[in-house]
Amino acid sequence: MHVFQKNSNIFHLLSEGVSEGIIVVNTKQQIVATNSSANEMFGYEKEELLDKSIDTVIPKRYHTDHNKHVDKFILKSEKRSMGQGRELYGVKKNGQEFPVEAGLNPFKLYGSTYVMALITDITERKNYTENLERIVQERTKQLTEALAKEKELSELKTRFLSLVSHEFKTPLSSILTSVTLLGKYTKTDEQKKRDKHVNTIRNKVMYLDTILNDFLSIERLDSGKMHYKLEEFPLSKLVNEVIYDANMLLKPGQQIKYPENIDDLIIKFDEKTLELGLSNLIYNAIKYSPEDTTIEVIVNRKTTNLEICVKDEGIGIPKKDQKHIFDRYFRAENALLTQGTGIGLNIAKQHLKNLDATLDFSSVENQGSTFTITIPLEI
Amino acid sequence: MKKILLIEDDRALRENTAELLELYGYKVRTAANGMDGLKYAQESPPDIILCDILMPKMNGYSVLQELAFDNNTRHIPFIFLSAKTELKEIRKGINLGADDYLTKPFDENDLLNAIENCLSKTKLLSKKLKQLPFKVIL
Repeated sequence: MHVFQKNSNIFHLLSEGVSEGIIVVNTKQQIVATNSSANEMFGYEKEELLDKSIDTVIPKRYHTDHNKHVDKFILKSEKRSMGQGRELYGVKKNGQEFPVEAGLNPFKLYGSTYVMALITDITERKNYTENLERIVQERTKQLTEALAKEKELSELKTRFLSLVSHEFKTPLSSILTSVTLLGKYTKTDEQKKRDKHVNTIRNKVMYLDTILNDFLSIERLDSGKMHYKLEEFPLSKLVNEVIYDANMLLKPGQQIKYPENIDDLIIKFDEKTLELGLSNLIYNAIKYSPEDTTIEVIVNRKTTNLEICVKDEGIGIPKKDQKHIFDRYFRAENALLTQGTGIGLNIAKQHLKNLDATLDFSSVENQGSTFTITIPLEI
Repeated sequence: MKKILLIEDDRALRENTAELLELYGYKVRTAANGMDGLKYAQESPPDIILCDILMPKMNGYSVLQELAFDNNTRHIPFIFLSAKTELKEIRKGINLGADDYLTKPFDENDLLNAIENCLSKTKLLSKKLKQLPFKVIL
């Protein structure tokens, strides 16, 4: 130590010129010299660290290991960076730990061995690396999720396309056979038969158009390209139109009961959305109800909202399937053998939700279902 | 007059196909689901059966399997009319013992040819069987 005091001018000149902290220890691991960067880094006054053990600047949990390393190092006596493959920490006077990088340089002076440690505070670099790692992890997670979603969507689309192509083929067969038959009825007195087939073709085209509209609606919903138009219109006009179209699809003996007292009811809503929702519910009621049953459309005017209910006497929805009934592509167990794509209710609910309206239901298997659209009324 | 049993759940297609076949001189009985179809086939075996696959109550595959268990119905020529157009579906139908498989939408000529082919094959087979020196139970 005396040596360093004796040559303090030279040491001072050299050590103060570098930005790294310099701590010199003797073979007893006592600090014999520090520069101001080291003092500042560890929070000590000038010369405060002198004569103290090197353990003073090392966190307690590393003391035993560190002493062994230093002894070995002094024996080998070669330059190297410290703590290769391990994370190194220093401890400040106030007890705060911080990550460091240290290079060890042994040297001999007047017959004594010393080790000069060049220390760099890597807190910022470590923070930066940790941040980067966190960002990479987050991005990887996002990417994995996006990929999984993309895969799921692609599978759903494949399934849906096969379903749609299947759903198209039966109505197309009806159209083709009707056209074939139309071509055979050329006599004047066969007009009734011609009318029947023209009607079948019209119905089937309408059905195909509904499937296509549902499909396009899904695309628009998913891509957020929906544009709603809130306008005032008489509810009776819309209900009449929907029921008129639905009447053509009725099974033998089925009938639709019109709602009462809606003649003077003007509502403000997106007409197309309500038409889509209501027609969807009525078509489902027809499809899933047997012959000779009644489908009832009921309108309840409440203080803050308006309820439009479609009640049927159909096959109902099994209890275990009820929680999934609005899931896209879902078909209830008892509906699997009936035509359908499993998208109608899903899109109707989403569209209605986008306009602060709701779509709910109650159902008992083999007794019937009631689906209710609730639209908020402007007060 | 050959008797056809047509099992199809779609009302328009059922009525149209029956109407078309009647114009060609067939006597057509229709069923709107697999269970009724099976019942009609067992009650009064037709000369040929045209059957959809995806139907309520009982699907077309089950109808064919049930018919195959019954000595009175196992010999009836059976044609699937289906919207299932994938090769594996067609193969499944044929493997189950169907004589033909028409995919929807089917053409008038395809339908008539399939029926005629099945009927003439059956006719030929029964003629050959009659020529055998022993009795074959199908």
